[in-house]
Amino acid sequence: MRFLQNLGKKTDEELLQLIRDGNKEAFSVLYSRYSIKLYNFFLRMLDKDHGKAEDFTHDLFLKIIENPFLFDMNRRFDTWVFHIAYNICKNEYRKMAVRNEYQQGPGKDLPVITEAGNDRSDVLKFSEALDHHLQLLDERHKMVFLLRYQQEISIREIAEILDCPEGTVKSRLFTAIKRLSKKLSVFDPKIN
Amino acid sequence: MEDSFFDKMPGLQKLLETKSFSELTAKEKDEVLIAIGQDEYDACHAVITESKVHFAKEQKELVPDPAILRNLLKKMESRRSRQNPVLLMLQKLFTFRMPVYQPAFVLAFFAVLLFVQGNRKHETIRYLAMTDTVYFEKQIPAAIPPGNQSIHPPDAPAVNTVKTTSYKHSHSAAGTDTTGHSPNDQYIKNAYQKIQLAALLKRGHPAFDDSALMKFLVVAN
Repeated sequence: MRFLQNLGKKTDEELLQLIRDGNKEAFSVLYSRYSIKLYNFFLRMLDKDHGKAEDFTHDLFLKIIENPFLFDMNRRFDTWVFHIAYNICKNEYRKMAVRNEYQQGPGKDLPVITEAGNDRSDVLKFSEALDHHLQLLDERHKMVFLLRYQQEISIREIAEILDCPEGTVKSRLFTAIKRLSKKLSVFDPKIN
Repeated sequence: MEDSFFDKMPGLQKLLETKSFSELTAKEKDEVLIAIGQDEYDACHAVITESKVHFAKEQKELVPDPAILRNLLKKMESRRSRQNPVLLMLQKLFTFRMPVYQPAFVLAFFAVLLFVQGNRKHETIRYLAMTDTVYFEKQIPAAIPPGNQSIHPPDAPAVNTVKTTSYKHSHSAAGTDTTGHSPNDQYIKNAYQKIQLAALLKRGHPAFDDSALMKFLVVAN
């Protein structure tokens, strides 16, 4: 138990070093730190598909187990792990695009959100609307928005994750915020 | 154009995330209003704060499936059991990362070392040839010229005329003899060595004693 407490104080990078040596407890600690974050991220990125989110979270941790040596110890672990998550999502989007093209359908039907009333306490409706409009955002904007406000990662680190300049991240973020604010303005009493 | 507002005004993003329009100072308000209107600012601020609250709440409600962790730990265990320790060590070795400047320095050092080594002149060892002139006397039977026969009585023995011959003896400084090995040469060499030995003995050289001289003389003759 004390051993686990000591592991809890270790940084992600130190834990990964222990995982390299086959330390299962270190892996459990790292899993408890990131599993929910990654699962939530996948959930949002993949249109609330719980099954896929679970599978991808599992696959990502499996990659950590199988190739812990691929991690560059000079980098930050969270940046690295979200970079892998981003690549997984990108591949999935590509597959989905091919599937949609093949089926020639209109894509996934999204629930229609009716305009909210003036009652701002209707949090549930705001959440639904946010989910709905986040899904409507294109993946680049959605990704940046989620990394910044769901995962609370800095702009510089997001740029590192997405492999693009900070300026690009900022403009994507601003576009995402503006689009969402236009759609969600019905929930803001000041705008109504 | 509006997409680059965050770039043009680096503080805007931070302000949007932290303050509503009413909370801004007069100076901040002026700066913000250059980029976006008040309503727009408030709408953006609301989206950010509400989204943060929503995401945080959502994250709290999620519970990871313990089966996933169990499965992963099982895989980790099985992977570890079938892993070759030598392979593991090699993997560690070849995936060891270091800053680029470190190997660059090492390479540069070896390059300089090779350059210096390549430009160094190779000094060949040359042995100085010392030349001595040895004079020795050799008694040879004098040939009686036909015209002089009347001078000497017929029973008189032939006069031994001493003829002096010079011989240049070369030897290397390292002591390696470079003279030829014809029988005549060998004879001259032996004579020369005899003289040298005798001289050394006369001077009372400690390295030589009678036995050594005798041994030499036996061998030489």
